[in-house]
Amino acid sequence: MGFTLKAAWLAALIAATYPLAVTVQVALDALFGDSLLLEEWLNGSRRTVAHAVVDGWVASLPWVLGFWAVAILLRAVSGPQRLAELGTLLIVGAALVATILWLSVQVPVLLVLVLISAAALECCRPRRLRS
Amino acid sequence: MLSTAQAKVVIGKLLVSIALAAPAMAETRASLIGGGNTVDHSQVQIEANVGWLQTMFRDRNIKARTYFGAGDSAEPDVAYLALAEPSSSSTEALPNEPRVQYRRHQLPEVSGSTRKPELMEALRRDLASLPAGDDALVIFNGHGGIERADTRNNYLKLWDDGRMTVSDLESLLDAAPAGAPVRFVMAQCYSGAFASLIYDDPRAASGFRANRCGFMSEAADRLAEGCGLSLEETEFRDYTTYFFAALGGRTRSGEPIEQRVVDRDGDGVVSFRESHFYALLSAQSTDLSRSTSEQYLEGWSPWYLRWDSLAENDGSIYWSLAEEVAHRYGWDTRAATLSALRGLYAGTVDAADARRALAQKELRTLKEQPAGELAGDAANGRHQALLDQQRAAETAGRESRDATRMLTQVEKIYRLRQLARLEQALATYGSAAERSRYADLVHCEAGHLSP
Repeated sequence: MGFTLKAAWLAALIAATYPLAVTVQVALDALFGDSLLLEEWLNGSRRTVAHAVVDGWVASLPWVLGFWAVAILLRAVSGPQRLAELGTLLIVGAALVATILWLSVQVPVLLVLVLISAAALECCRPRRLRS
Repeated sequence: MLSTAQAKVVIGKLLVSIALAAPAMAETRASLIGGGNTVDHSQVQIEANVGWLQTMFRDRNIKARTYFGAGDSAEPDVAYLALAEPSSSSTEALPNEPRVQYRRHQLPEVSGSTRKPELMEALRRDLASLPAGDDALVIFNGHGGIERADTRNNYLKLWDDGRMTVSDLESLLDAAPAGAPVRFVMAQCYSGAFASLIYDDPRAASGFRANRCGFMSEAADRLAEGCGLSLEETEFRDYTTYFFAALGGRTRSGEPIEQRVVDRDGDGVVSFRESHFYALLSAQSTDLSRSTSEQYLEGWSPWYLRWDSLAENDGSIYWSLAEEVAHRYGWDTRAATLSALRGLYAGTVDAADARRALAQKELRTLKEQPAGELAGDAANGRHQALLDQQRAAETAGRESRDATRMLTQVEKIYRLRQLARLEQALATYGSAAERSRYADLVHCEAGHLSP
């Protein structure tokens, strides 16, 4: 794969981080909350939802880039144990979401989901770019 | 021991010194602005609202200046409905069809018109002359306009098609003495944009003014109730009707409102904030009313909290209000129930709107048919069809409006619950400055009419 294609693929993965995290949040909200975004889409203003998602996508970029940097660094320093590193990150993220949901720990769920999404999408990068 | 005479002298001196030391009672100075931008859009309900407020302020000895429509000129500035005389010459005039009529306003003590230059000058003068310790209350009853490209430029529609933008009004509020509380109640469409009057620069949302706060009937992009041509006051469901009913202790139709229902903190005084809560609870209208502190919370919410509905905050007044609204309609507040209700009412609105559009299309088609060529049964049949389609359109319109009102109640519950969550989130994640601004707004909103 050429450098340009790899860069474009990386940009697409980064761009997909927030939408993926929001999708999971919508699913969690539908199970445990008022499902505000889904409700607005189904019975309210789809334009409002579209604006909200685009606004959130733009506002989340600094966080997304930061989490991607963390994920890439962790993968880079973990050497041959790449999968173990990624697994640890996902387990920590999942545990955080669980504590937020059941123990009412004050951490914004979407931030944790963005971190998990960045870690999960990071493994979709071509291997040569990882180290 | 003091003798009786000495004691009387001491008590007398004490009373005099207390009287001299006590500050003068703060007073509320109200500026009532009302009317449409043209006579066609200056509905009688607006005049009725302004008249009702004038009476309430007079009864409570509150100084109020009124600016309405064309002011003192003889120009007609109120539109109302009156039944049309049945006409035998035309088959187009439907029986008992009300027609719009015009007249000059009938309000007493109107200080001026709402023509932009005149109103700007008068308001600036009123605010600049606010005595020390008094507070200002600016009330607008009329129409609002939306700037679709940027709702921060929404405006009040003034007589002769004038426009007063959020920035225009903000510059006027600056005329008030520094530190004097300035409150505003905006009942027009798209009024939510005026929440940014709490900033010196409303467009940039910078320069927070801790002594300003207000209440708006609707969001910056939604129409508000209250532009009817009917004179039936029991049917008035605009924000003004509910908000000031709570402040005045009487409903629009004159029935007393128990103070304990409104005075939530039980301090014996009904605050503006409590009146707003009463309006939220009681208004079965299409308005999703809001205060500046609520808009501040919504504006503050960071991207990662805006749609997060996982937390509960049953310690918040907004959570209690959501429960009370649901209780009023016999609904439970489980997410599945609310979702089903929202879907039901949204579907009803869509179906009624479709029926109305169809009936209106049929009506137009019938009216376009040349009536003169028809005679006898054909003419009667056409007239009957016209009547049927008109009734169908009216019925569908009423169904749509009623279902929209119920849909708004469900949306209100969602919004109130989210405000409760955001209150909690601000306490957890907000900076000290952000928490302080919110507290300032709540404090300002918790003021009351004086005396």
